[in-house]
Amino acid sequence: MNYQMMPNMMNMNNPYMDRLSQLQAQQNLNNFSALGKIVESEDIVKTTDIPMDGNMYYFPKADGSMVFGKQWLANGTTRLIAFKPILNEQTEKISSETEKFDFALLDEFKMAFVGQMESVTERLDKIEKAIRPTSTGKTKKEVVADE
Amino acid sequence: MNNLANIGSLIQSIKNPQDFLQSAMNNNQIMSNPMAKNALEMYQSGNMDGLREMAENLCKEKGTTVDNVKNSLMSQFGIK
Repeated sequence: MNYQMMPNMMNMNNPYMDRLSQLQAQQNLNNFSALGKIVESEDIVKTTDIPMDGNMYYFPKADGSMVFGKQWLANGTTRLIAFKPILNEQTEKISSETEKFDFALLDEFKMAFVGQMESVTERLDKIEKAIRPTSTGKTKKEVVADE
Repeated sequence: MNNLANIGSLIQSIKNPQDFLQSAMNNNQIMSNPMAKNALEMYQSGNMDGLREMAENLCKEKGTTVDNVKNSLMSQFGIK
């Protein structure tokens, strides 16, 4: 006698497996730090409720100047941390150098593009002159053919 | 009906705190929560001061006090 165990049948016969998988999924979810919401100020973060699961919830400030982190601690208090961007001379120098480089590249591209357009325009002019009808109303090709 | 069953099992577990403690310690959901785990450990070790401090901290975070919560609970049961 051959048995073919279908997965659905297995789950129906073993509800404990479903519950275990649910708990494991929930635990994986709890290990993931979550995003709160975008806030205007620190005061809003202080008054915002977060789940008491011990995970850090992040609240970016609307102007992008910092990110607040809030979490419940084991002693029943909450902790609020502010993450600010690191702005030092090196990063400012790199950003300004990048801007200068972009402008130089842009100028070079513009010059090359204009040069190309001029050569294309010249060629079009030559073609136009070649096919322009003469004073007799015929094109240059037709005049040559008549001759 | 499910809620009644849960309340019934809770009352049974309170009658037998040792079993309640053991089942709570075996519960992954409870033990993965730092606050719940800390509360259970303090209860297990008999650290009532720590539990009281945690309760006060929680009430303070919620903008209330332990006395207010206690009075509110008592009034719900009709006890002054």
